Amino acid sequence: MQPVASAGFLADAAESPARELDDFDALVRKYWPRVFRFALASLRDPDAAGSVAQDCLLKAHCNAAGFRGEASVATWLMRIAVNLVRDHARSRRLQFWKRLGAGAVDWDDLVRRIPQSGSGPETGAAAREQVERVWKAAAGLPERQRTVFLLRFVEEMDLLEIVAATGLREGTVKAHLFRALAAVRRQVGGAG
Amino acid sequence: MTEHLPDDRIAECVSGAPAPAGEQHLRECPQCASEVARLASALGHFRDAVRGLSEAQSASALARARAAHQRPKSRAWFRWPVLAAVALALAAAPAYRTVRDRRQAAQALADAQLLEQVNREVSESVPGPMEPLSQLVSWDSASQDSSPSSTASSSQNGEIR
Repeated sequence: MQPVASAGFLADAAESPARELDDFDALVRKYWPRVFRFALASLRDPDAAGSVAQDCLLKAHCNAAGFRGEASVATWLMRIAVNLVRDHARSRRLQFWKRLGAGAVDWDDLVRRIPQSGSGPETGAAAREQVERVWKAAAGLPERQRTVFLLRFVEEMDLLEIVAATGLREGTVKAHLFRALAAVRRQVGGAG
Repeated sequence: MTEHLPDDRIAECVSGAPAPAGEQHLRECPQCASEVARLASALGHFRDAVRGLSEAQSASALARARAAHQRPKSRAWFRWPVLAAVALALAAAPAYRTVRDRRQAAQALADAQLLEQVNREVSESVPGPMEPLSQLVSWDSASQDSSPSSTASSSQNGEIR
């Protein structure tokens, strides 16, 4: 009796990365929020972040044949986004990261997003102050440190995923991450 | 315990990948544990704030990106009539040239005919109004040709015909 394909195999085929990349609308629905979030945290400009996210998804869709499946689609997209953010930030470096607190993102809008549930006024004020300090510390980080920092602490990617997304070696990623944390720690008010 | 975790160990613990020695130290050192907890809390608030901000702005940014992506398409619609007009003009150019060439050829033929007529009239030895006289002269000439000696003798005799 000839073996037949299992339902699981068919399900895997239906959700294969290549097919996922082929359907642009589905790609946008699934990955836009994440790519936009990383771009927004990196560039602090919603318009620029939208532009980067759009370019990222379009590039992924148009170059679906180049996806070898060595990493997940999400990681591959983040790698494209990292490159686009880097290019964008370099082209507009003087407009963003040299002006702390003067970016396109409204600071009040950011601090309003801090969850208030279960925290009193004092705790809420402390949380807002912490967010402000981390935000400023991230603004002052060198580009690679900032990228690694955001991938780890906003996107919650593990080290190997960050290695795949940045193309850096694991030791380099760790070094950038630890330096970034040391800078954030100093800004937040810890030792260092 | 007198020594606390160095920066890189603190960073390892905050990153979620503490070395066994670091984990052991955190269990025994409230000060380092507090420091790690404080930093982790700040990073957690930061993550939540950025995620909340992103969620609030994601939909509008996507709408703007889609609008910007579709704008060139709408311009392309306006380009179509212009492109069609240009194509029509290019396609009609040979036909226009044919009609123009035909007109020029007809005009040249008319000009040639007129010129030929003018040449013919100019090349006539006697103008039209003097044609009757020329007929008389030619008749005289014919008689002279027949008897030249008689004409000469008549003139000499003072005769008028």
